[in-house]
Amino acid sequence: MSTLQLVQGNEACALGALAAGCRFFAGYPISPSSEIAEALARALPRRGGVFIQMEDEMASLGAVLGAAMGGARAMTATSGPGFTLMQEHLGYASLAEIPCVVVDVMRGGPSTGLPTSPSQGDVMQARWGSHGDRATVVVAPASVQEVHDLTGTAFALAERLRTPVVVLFDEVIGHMREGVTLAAPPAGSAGRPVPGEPPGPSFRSAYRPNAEGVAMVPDFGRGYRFHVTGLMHDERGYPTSDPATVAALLERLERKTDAALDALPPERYRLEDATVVLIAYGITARMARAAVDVLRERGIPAGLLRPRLLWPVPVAALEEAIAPAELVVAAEMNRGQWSLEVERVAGRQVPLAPYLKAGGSIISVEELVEHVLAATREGVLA
Amino acid sequence: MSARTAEPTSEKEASPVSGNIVVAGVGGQGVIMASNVIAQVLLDAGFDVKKSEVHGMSQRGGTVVSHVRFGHDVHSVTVEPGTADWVVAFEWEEGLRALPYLADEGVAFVSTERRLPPASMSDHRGGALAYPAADASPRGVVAIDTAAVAGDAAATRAAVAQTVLLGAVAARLPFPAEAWHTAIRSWVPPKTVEENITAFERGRAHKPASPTRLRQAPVVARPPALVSIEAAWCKGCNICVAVCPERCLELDRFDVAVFAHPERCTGCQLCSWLCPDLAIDVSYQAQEEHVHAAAGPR
Amino acid sequence: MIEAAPTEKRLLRLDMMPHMLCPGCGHGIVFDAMLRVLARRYETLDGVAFVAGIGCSSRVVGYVDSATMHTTHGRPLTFATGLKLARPDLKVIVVTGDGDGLSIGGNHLIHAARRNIDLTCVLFNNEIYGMTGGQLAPTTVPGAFTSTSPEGNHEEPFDAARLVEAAGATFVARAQSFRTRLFEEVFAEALDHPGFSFVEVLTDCTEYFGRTNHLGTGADLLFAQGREEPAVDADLATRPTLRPVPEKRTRPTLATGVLHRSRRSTLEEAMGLVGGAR
Repeated sequence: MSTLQLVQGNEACALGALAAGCRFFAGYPISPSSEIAEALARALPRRGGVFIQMEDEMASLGAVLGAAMGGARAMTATSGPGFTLMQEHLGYASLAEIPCVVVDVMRGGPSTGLPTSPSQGDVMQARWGSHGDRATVVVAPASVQEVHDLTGTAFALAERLRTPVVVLFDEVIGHMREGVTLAAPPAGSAGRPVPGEPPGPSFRSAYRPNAEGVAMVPDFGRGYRFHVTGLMHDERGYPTSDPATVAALLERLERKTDAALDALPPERYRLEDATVVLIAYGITARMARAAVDVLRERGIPAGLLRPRLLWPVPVAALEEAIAPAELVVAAEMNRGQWSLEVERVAGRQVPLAPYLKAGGSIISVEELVEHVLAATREGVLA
Repeated sequence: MSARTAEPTSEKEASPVSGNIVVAGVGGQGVIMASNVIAQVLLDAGFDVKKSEVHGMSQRGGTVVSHVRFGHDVHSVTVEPGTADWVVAFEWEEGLRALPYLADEGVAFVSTERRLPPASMSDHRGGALAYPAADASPRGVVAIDTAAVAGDAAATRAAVAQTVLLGAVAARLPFPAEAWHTAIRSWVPPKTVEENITAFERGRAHKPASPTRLRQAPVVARPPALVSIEAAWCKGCNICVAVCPERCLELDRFDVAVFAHPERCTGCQLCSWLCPDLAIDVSYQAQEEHVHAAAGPR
Repeated sequence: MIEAAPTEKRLLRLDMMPHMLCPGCGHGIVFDAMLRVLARRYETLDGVAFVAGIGCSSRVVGYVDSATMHTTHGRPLTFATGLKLARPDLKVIVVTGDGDGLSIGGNHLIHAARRNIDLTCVLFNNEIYGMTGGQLAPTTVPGAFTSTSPEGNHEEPFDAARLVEAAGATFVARAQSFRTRLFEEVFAEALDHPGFSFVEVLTDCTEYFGRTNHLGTGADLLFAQGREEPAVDADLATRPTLRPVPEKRTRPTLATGVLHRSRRSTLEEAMGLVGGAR
């Protein structure tokens, strides 16, 4: 069952969430993400779900986490400034292992910045915005279709791994309309892990992990009595400051997110014989793909690696794409964020010529082609 | 004797070039103040001194540990386990807890005072407490009945008794008594200076028996928990004692509420309602049991 | 022994006790009174959820054998809002403090009251930040000494009950830790009330507020409540400070009991989540 429709990116996000079983949304108005809230305000009540506009973004994510503890698949959507306010609760969700989806439709920053212009400036905020060593899962769709589909993937990963998953796209994709095939969510998006033991007065294992390293936390009000806290905790969920227990907990929380790497491998485009490797994600990847074709026409063996999962970093796929490269061009709409990860993986052996553009306009195919040609001419390809 | 000395001359004259001191106790005992005094003496003697503390969320009744390191040039601020030349513990259990810091040749001065921190009772409902095996303890534990040594110096303020331990340490360090007096004057509340110095001098003059093994130290038996009072939960705030209209309750010498006069109890429940520690239950059916339990040999 | 006793203690996580509150802390008294009310209504707390923020008061939920959530500083009402809307079948009780609920979380408090969501919120007001070491709170009386008002507090406190009433709460009550029976009464009524019910309970921080302001022991503070005495020692005005305490004032004698009660649609009713509309 699928239908082709002309849909706006933000609407596609809402539709993808609904298809993935989202039944709770709490949010606060902010450009350029507000259409997601507006669409869900219409759709959720008709489907037995709940929409609520909260007093601010901290409250929005707080309500989402409360609903998620009650068993709901829950989501919020925001943009840069609101995403900043959500960071404390993102950390809470990571540590307390509460599944949720947070959509950040990126706009220019810092501060109020460019409220209606695109940016890819929240990539590092999505990774490091909350204090402490927090493992993160961040997906980056590059089309309206993919906004729909990856929002579903985000829910599947959030539930399976009991962790917040961030869907990161930008103002242009959010407001763009494209033909979208609204398919049922892929099979295999099973729900959250449940405890192996029945409830009872001696239930003391709410935070015991399963084989995948995911705590099997029951929902509230299902017969289990247990404690949830943002303090470091043991497998009972009770606070602890025992260094060994805490270290093991942090290690497990980081390790479990590796499963996302298999679930969402990067797209490889014309990479088979490529020695000029472009690396781009989100809206920028669309232009990078076109640039690859132009460069190929001009005899340059170019290819594109497009990560759909920004965090955790798909290191193996990056290494594979970079290994034969004589020039690596990471392009993104900021002053250099994910390109630093490319640099980290590439090391000093491979010539790098990142193309970075911040200012509120997208990267065009022409300027990217020109940048690659210039980098080639200037002998970066030594 | 145990600090690393410049030359192995006689004990009295040896001037330590560096050393580590761990001061431990529970909140409210003056651990921080005492470590400030020690640090002051060392600073005045020209040492580089680093002092760091573990307290904060422990609140009153919780563990407080202070590390003092001194030498010509001290970098690390905390004392590693097994490297403390002296452990000064204001409380018996905290002394046990701090023993892993002690170096082989180190000496621990441990007060026999008992103030059981709530955390140490978590898994021991009913007042039964487990202790480390006696033979697992290192050498060099000097148990001092600080209240007895301090005598009338601690008559008004019980906490002053712990200053005896400072005196005991001072006797092993090559700094003049005046230096200690000066430091004490600058750190303790003005109106307690004289009694603190008296306690300090009594501690300095005190000749403890040769280093005592833990099994020789007094092991304090907790009173059996009475039926109506969960002794392990009681923090000794005295509210039940103060609110009981019939004066049935008392604090024992460990600051734990006991149902001392069951024959007076009218079952009004005020003690139970106002106990912040949820430690008191008044059960009418069990009244007979209360009387028997409380009237038994104690 | 205690396990067998037919008391509110059956609702405790015994393996977490004793609790971490200071000797004489009023919070423990209020907590016990809450448990007594709940023990009269519930055999076990399976249909109940507790949501708390950060601070001494919020820590008490960790000792309740129920679904308990110790959230972030100031935000328990936001978590509770989401939980209640997703699970209207649960009785959701929010435990917060004066710093948590009125300072960092003040915005959430007034909005929860405005929405009239069916939550019961108990705010432990001890006029100070205890967990962090006795700093100034938005409820500290003028003139009182705290670790961040060494010259005496220059600010006016919130009246939490009146604030929440003005914001739209449909049940507002105030109680004291000393009069536990009154607290039990108003807490029970709050639990029964459909809509946002708010109970402010005045308790005492013995270690920071009491000691810093020369108010004596936990028992002294309780008796002062009983006599409705000022909450700040009169001698404080003569204490040497960097400069004189401006206009020495004390915690006013505040009205207790049920202060406001009205009935309008709860948020869940308005949204059609309860009442058979769906």
